[in-house]
Amino acid sequence: MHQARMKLYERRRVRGMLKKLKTVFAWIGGVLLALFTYLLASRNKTKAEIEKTKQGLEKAQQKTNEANQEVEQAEQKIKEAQKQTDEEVEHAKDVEVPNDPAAVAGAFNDLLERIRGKSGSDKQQDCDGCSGRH
Amino acid sequence: MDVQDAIDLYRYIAQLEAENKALKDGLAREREATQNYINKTDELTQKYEEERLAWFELEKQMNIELQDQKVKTYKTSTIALILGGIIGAVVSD
Repeated sequence: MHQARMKLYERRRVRGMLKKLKTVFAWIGGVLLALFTYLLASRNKTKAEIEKTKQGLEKAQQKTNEANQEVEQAEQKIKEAQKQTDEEVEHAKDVEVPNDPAAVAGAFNDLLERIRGKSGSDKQQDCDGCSGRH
Repeated sequence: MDVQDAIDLYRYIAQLEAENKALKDGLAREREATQNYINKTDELTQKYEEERLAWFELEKQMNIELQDQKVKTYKTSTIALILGGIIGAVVSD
């Protein structure tokens, strides 16, 4: 009788224990699930931001490289312009001058007219026919 | 002054005129090219500044992630410790 009672008591104790264990494991499972969900969500978020920033950086680097190339091109253009000026100044000495005295006299007259016209226009506006002789 | 002197003088003047014109044209071209160069250099400086800011932002993000990882590690360790304590308590009961 006493043994049967003890057995019953033991069974109840084991059942109670198992119930407790189930509750504890359910809690652990719930907590772990919540934790993993949180970790997964936050990790993805951080990674996405880093990737986005890296993409922004790559774009910025690309733009810098393009700007660098443009500066090099601009530098090259300056050098070309300098070279062209040197060449044009050099070729400026190859002017054709007439040998005929009458043609030379005509050229001189043109030149004088131009000079007087320029100085006249500098000194006196709307002056017609005086060739700057004021 | 004879005719040859006049011819030489005219040649000299014509050469000077042509040289003057070439120099003026060249100066205008070089000025334009230099202005273009200055503009491009300004743009480059701006792009470098943007790149610097992008690097700064990346550094910031990486520091945030590092900090986040640290926090996660601490959290996991704490939770594992608490769980271990609970399980140990249940088992020893």
